Amino acid sequence: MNSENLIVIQIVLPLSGAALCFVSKLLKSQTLQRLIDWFAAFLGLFVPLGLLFFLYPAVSQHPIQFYVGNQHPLIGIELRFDGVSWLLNVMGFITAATSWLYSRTAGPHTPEFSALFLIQTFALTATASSADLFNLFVCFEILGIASYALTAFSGKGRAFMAAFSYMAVSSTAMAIFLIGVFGIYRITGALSYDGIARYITRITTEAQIVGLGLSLVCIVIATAVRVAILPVYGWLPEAHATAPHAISAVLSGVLIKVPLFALGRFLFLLMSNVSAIDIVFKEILDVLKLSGTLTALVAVIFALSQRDVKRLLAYHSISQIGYVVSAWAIASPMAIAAAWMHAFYHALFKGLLFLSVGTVIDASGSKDVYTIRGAYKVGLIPTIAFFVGALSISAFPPFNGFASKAAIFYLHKGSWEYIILSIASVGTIASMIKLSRMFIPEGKSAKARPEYNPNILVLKPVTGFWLKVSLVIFALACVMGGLFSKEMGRLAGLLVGTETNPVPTHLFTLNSIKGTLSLLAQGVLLYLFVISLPGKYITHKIETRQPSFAGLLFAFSLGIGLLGTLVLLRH
Amino acid sequence: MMINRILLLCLFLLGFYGLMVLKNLVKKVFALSIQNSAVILLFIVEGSRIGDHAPILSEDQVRYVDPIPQALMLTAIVVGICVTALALALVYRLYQKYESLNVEEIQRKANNE
Repeated sequence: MNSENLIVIQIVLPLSGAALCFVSKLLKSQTLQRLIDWFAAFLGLFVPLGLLFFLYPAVSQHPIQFYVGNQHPLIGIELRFDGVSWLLNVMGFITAATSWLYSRTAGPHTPEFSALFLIQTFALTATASSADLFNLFVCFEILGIASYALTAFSGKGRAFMAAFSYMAVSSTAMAIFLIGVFGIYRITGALSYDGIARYITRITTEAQIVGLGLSLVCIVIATAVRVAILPVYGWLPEAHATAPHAISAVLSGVLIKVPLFALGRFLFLLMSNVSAIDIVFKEILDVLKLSGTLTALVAVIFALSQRDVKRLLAYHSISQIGYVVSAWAIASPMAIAAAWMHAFYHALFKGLLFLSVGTVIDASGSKDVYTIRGAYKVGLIPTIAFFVGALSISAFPPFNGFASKAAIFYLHKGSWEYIILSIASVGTIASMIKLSRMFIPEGKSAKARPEYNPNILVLKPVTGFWLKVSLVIFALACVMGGLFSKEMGRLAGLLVGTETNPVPTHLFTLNSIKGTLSLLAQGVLLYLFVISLPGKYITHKIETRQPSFAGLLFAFSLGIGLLGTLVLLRH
Repeated sequence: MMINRILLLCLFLLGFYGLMVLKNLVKKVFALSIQNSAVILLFIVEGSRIGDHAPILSEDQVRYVDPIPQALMLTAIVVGICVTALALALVYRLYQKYESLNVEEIQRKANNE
């Protein structure tokens, strides 16, 4: 079978799985229903992973570009499956498949859940290989609609409200995205990336440059809402904190990164052409780099202030995406490889953290980091899983976060971003220490406290085969990703088109361990400050500050206004 | 020509204003829909000015209207309907739970849960 067919099959399989799940709803027998669900998930999540393996030889040579069904270029849908698409698919399918396994124990179990989950996965892979701006818009919308519905799946009132806010902001962003698409179509007369890249070199007049620049601003800001960087991240914490745990893992792990890299496939293709507009790209990317770096720091301060454990993790996702954006915006192949590595590794350890913390939440019935105690009682595997995740996100050798953060720091060496990101890492360590409090055994003094609730502290060991399997897969992936980080770096580098390995050659040296230890010491100091009296006062002030509905939209218009003004002023 | 764009911008901003300021969730959904319609109208109105004949293929070559923007908008309308439907479903569930459509009241009740 040729690779073009393999790509189409790989995209269509999750969708057929979703159709199967809907069919299974018609059946009366529960056992049969469950059997079909399993088959659908196997078809839609695990088979595509296998197909990716077969696609690797072709993709590593050159990108595969074709029209679906060999249609005429005027009406056909163009797909471009390149190294970045392959990498994104690997990240998406591994995280989605493992999280789905977790949902078999922890729920939701209904066929609708599996169907929506598979539709979301379909949209992920379609986004990763789209080569047409309008097609990208449609993929973003499918991705969005599936994720709004999945966020609401936990059935809690807050989840409905979070899904509604997420949808309102995101739909507004997509309307703006369409305006950007229109601007580009009006000026260049093309929608496919190649067509736009061809026309863009002929642009000379100032009016066209400004028009195209403003259209790009619309597209970039609209995508930034999905990626959740400053100042448009406000919808994320509530949505990720209230969704079912398996969905939180996919939302944080994959859904916020795929739009970023999909945007990159478009922007970097246009940038490789020598044209008058290149300066606009540079400006937009500089702003994104600044925004990403600041996001990493600001979000970790918010994370440090949260009581709700899942909100804490959600803010961490924003912070980590800040690292990814700050590297991605450098726009060299090596930087993209480093950004992808961190995105992938983040998907693994954040998946692990969400799932293990989710297990503790379900067992204890509380989400408050100050009330949960003795969380180790839920069992050995969730406990080990949590600590593997926490050590990975805090960048301790030899776990995977250490390698990918080293790659990003290596890129920023000697610049101001390096300092900001280092401070953010200290915050990450401190907030992980805070989260680890859940595992402290309950002391005698705890029972004397007024907020003591005896029901919460009765933690029973969790059972459930698939829950443990999913945790073990993620944990192993974190450890292996760290040990074989150089090989992963070389693979990512090759696929984005560079010989250089983004991971520094001397990774596990005495100096790096010293650096980690000094970060740990600073993290402990920061944590001690947070639990001190003035620290508590400040963090409480930050925590109670919740973004209102109007605030979310205001931040969005602020972002678009600022970037638009910048482009207008410079030309 | 310019007046069209200004009117469309006004329509879009009306939707944006409604989404941001109105308290009633159903009205927010309306606002979302108005916003979407403004963008669709932009495509149709502006797109119709590329060429001037009906896009029907015939023997003699004429400068017909570019059909692509209109074709794209069919998809965008479908997407818009999906979003509206899902939004209304969410509003309905919120109403069932909190017996109110006021966004501030719902947020207050939800935070106290």
